[in-house]
Amino acid sequence: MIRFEGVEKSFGAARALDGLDLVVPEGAFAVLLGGSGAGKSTALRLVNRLIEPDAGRVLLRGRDVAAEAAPALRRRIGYVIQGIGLFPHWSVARNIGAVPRLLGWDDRRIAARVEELLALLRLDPAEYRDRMPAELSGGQAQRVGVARALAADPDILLMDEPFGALDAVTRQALQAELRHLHAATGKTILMVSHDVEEALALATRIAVMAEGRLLQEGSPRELLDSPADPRVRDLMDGGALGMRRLSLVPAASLARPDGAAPEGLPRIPAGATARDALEAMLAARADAALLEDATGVPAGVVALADLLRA
Amino acid sequence: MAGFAVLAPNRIVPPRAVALMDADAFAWLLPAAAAALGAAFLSGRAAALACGAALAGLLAGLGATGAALAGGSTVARLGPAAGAWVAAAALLLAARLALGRAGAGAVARALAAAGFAAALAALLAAGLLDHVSLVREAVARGPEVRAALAAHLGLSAAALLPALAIGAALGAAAFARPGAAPAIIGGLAALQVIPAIALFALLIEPFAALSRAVPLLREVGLRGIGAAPAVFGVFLYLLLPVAAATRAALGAAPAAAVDAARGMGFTPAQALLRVRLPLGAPVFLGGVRTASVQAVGLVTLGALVGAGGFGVLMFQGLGQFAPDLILLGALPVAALALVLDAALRAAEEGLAR
Repeated sequence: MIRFEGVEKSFGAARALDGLDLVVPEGAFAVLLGGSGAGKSTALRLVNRLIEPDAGRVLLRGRDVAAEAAPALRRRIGYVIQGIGLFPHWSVARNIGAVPRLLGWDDRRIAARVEELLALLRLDPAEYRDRMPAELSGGQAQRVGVARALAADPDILLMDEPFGALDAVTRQALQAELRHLHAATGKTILMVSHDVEEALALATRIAVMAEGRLLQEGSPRELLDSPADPRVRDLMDGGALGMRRLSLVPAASLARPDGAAPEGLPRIPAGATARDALEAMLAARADAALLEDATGVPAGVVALADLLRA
Repeated sequence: MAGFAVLAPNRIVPPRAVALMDADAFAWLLPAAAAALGAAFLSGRAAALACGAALAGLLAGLGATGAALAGGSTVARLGPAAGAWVAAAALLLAARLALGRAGAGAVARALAAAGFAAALAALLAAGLLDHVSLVREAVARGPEVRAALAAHLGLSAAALLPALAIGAALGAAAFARPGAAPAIIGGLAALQVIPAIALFALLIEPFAALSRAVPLLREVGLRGIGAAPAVFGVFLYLLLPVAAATRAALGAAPAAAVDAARGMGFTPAQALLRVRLPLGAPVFLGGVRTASVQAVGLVTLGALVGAGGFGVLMFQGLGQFAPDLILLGALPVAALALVLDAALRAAEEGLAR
């Protein structure tokens, strides 16, 4: 659990954080959402003490982060940045093993961990282990960046616009990986983003910030349905409120048994969102879609009218 | 003087021109010409090798011409004239271009230079060049040349080593405190504006005063005239390239890598040793290279304020209007500078890889 208590921070005359109070529950995937200058990155960097607060404090599992020496604290916290920041003179394996090496792990344990992480991030260890960062594409480099942040099995992962510099296709692929990673490891993730779609796709909790303050914190659905501030409403609506709502709802939760399903319905995977279902119906000019499980067996029907319940 | 070479019966008498036909050195010169022609049809390293062979043949041909024309004289000397100079320069240029076109790195170029130096040494050892004027002069002044080499290297090192230490410290200070950087780098740059001879002369009086005030310093050889003003003056000039390179080297690591290192829990010392220094090393070495080459060149002027080194031979040669003596001072300085440059460039390339 991460808790910000009345945190204030100024850089010269510019006030970056103006009394931030925020709790990130254990195991949450929390996104700090807001425009530039909202104070999101400042808040993130307070957690691993890259920035020290002027007033207030940051607690990690109930313990003030200032109570521990900064390097030791940071080795327990994964850190991923938009610029990736792989060390260009080290191989992929050595980059990933950086923090374990700082922690004094022996070489065999580090090598085993590197293999494990490359596989987890879907990079073939034999092919990528000995490559230099200059020989990676942007998406591959950021996979290595994420693997490096996870190397010492930190409880918390801090991510500062990690996919901001990637193209849309690569970004979506990495977002999907990250969702799986969060589901599989249960780590608390705190991520900074200015992209509402990204926040909705990933977050279990969203904290909307503006001008160094927290505007509203809640589940994606709460923020969509009951924004507490006009600025939150404008941000979350963005002219696509209905579609965004659909994207948060699993199609299966709206489906009915496929008793008398007509032939020729578009088929979508059982794990698809209601938004995927709508897209499939519109594309096929049908008024319903058939859910099927991984083996192709029908698992229910969702009709156009059902989507109104989303 | 036009012609292939010039022959003088001794060091004093003006030389006369020698044409290719005057002496039978074709046993060397014809193969040399063939090798030079062959280079035009070869490519890359083979062409460079042919140019080197042609150059060695040309030198041996000069030596053979000298031997043939000197008769039994042990003082007659043959010097290269326009023909030989142009041929040698053209061959050197062609060899360098061929190496460049072959994509040879600094290490390969250094190897090529070392190979040519070895061939030259073999020619000298075989006595083939005994009648060439420069070799005559060098043999006659052997102890002086050796003393000049030792003094030149000693003076250069005496200026360079403290400049590396203090320049690196100043560069690190300029990096750590960006506010102070313009003052530090600007101050060192201002020193460069003072001409070397003027700076050496300006330093004579302070060192003389220091020497008078502290007898102990005089006893260890520190005086107003001599090595002290030259070494200190050169030291001052070398501070800028070293400090500027140090500052640039410390900032050479990508900002994201430095941020990541901090954020992952590298201590400041670990970030410096494992990220900043390895990534900045080639940049720093570039500054060391510039400073080393500058040191070897600037120390030459130190002869004017009484420091030793090859400058002594050069200025003696100028005073006596003895071109061989001037070259005897100038060629080793140029060779030293080229060797240092090649060696440090090879080290840079090795590090950058």
